[in-house]
Amino acid sequence: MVNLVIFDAGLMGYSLAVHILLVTMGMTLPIIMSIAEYFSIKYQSKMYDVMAKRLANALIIFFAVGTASGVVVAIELFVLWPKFIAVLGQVGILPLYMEVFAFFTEAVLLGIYIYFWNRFRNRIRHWILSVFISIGAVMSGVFITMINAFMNTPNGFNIQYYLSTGKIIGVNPLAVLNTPTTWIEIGHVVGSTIFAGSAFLLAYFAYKLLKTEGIQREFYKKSAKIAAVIVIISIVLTVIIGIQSITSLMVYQPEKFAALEMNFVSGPHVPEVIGGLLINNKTIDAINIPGLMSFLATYNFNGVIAANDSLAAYSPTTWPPVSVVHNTFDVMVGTGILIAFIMVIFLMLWIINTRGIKQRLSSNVTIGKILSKKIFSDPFDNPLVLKILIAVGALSAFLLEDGWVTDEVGRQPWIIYNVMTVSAAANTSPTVVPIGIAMILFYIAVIPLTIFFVMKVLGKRDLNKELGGNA
Amino acid sequence: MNTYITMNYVILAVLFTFLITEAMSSLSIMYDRKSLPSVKKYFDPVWGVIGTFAVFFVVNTEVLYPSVFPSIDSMYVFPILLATFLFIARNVFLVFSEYVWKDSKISQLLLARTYSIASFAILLVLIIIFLSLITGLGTNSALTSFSISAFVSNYYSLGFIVGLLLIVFGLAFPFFRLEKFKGLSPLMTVIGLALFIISMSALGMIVNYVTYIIAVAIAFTSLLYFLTGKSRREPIFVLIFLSVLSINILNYGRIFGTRSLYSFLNNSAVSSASLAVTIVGGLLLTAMLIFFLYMYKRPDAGMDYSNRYTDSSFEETKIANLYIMPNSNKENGKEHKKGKNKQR
Repeated sequence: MVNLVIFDAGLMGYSLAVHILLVTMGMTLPIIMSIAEYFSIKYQSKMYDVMAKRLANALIIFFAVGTASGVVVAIELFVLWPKFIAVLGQVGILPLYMEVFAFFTEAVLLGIYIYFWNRFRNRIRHWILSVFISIGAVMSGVFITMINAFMNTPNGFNIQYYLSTGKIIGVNPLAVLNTPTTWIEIGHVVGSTIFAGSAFLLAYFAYKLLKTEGIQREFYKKSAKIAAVIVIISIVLTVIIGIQSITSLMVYQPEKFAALEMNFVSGPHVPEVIGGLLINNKTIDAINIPGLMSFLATYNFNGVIAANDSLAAYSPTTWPPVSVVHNTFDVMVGTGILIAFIMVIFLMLWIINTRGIKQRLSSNVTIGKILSKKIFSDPFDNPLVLKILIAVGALSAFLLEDGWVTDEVGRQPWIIYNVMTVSAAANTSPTVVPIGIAMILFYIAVIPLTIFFVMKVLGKRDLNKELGGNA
Repeated sequence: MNTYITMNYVILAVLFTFLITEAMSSLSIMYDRKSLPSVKKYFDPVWGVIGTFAVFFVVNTEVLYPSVFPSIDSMYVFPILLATFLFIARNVFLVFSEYVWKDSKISQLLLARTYSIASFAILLVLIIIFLSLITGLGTNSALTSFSISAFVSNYYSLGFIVGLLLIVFGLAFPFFRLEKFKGLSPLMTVIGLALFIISMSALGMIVNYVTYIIAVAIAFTSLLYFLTGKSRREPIFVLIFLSVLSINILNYGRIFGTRSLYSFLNNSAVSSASLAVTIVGGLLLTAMLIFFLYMYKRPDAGMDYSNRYTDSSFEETKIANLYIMPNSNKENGKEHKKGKNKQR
């Protein structure tokens, strides 16, 4: 017999995991497309114009599949979690409603942008559309994240009264727009989504740089440069805001924080636990770094960690799956730092190879000798660096999924933190099973098929001819 | 009348208007392959907006009546998930048909017909849910389950659906200016209207002079096209909108046959806030749709920027061959091999 609560949670998690990948492209493509079109106008460059058009083609395909996937997630939210939706509807539905208008902005303007491209006499006006499309795409993410922040730190109604009577009073529908974690979560989610999307595109461009030559290579180099700038900016912001969000967890979701850190200790000089498993409520095979958690939380190795930031303060019945979330959290932090480190080195190599700088540095014989080594060559022409960028692209998708698993599994067993459990909210009608399985199978096909299709559509068009070279 | 309920009805009417025009697209592609360019010219820019309107309606309903969702979810879980599944298929096949490359083994027409079937099935599923929601057909008294066999055992429910589909088919002729056996247009429309109105009345839905005036106007549109070959999309659009809105207004506040929508209304704080968001968002949406319509009507400027580019002197690249629709991509592939493409 299928446990329907686990089935619902699994189906929702799976659908979200697929949807998130599509969202990363849906949020990043319009930004890069907009930059490309702006450059095509500013520099009167055909290459950037072709880039904008190609990205627009890819965007419309991702948009179509992403919209369908978004509707699936929205409908699943309503169908699988009716009691959660009943509470959300009476308190915190406003961001979801606002998201519809952000979605409209993207859908309507994207239709105009793509299908009426040649009807604009003024290119700047056409470009302005791409700016609004980007804003619409990002705002959709912002509003949905507000709902997630409400699930993590609910407010806007009398929670104590609801817990004792099951009735909702004292509603302030605007409070959900500004929960204690809303803005930090938005920063982290938007930053990491744009990072993952641009890293994925950078990987694609890096792959093309390895495979092409001549004018095509020049085209992919320009594309890669735009993507690389966005990757560097977004990873730095994501790491900084990520540190802030851990601090916010300590204050507003201490039990989740304790589970992510697998921490049973409070007081001064608390060690950071890295890796390991929790078996029979005991930590095994973990690396303990003395005082590090105190330092990360208070910037002092003897800083005090509060009692409620330790799992010992809570009943094991309300703990999330500690071993899982602790390790996904450690992997997320480790991978994020690794990618940030790689991108900083990449940035340095890029700067060194910028016109003039290398020549100036090379005036010193010793430095010149060092810089003449292949490793210091232009990173966009260095096969090793390009291969690393491809690996970063794959890692970024993994990192994004891992981050969401950490956030969502870390809130278990709650769907609304300390208000409603997942099992209380679930739809336990057996009807969801067959169609749910069909959706899982369908989704398995959708992502590879979409990526294959986009590649094929772009590959079938003769880039050389579009760029003005020989067909 | 309640402002929030009326607002919800207007959004539903716009959604169904779009869905019905989409069903017209589907029937046209299935009925006459030559209609594909005309259908795509209308449908390509608006498909994204239609999908968004579906989300708009669902979220607006959730905002206004959150307490009705546990009942709807438990009763219609299967048809809702089925419609969602079909929606994915519709979008995927739609965009694939639009961008499928010329020498592909799968023709554009086949892909277009596949998404047409999906679109058509979505409308069918949604009409079943809509009719059941208004009349309570197929639902049990405790509002915990929905039975399709109980739904179809009332023949008037089938009459309602078949009647509507005949009207949609009849109106597809003037909407896309279909030429093939255009005498079918008034015939199907009139039979459909008769069946539709009789079924509505038998199902306990209110029918009055407003219904008859709209029905006559719809029949007249079909007849006019048959006689003169002239038609415009705007009046058809308005007529469909008024039809759906009139059904809702005449059966105001009814849900599951005998229940009142008023009893499910959300608390005043959320309702007021949602009204403010609807007004602001609605104005934004209206402005965007007016701009959309303006650009839709505007002729192609044929702007050639290639002479302005400093890094190339080559011809401009088109965004996509959106309106060049070969009858068969296989055929087109052969032309390519024979070098006939140059002659085009």
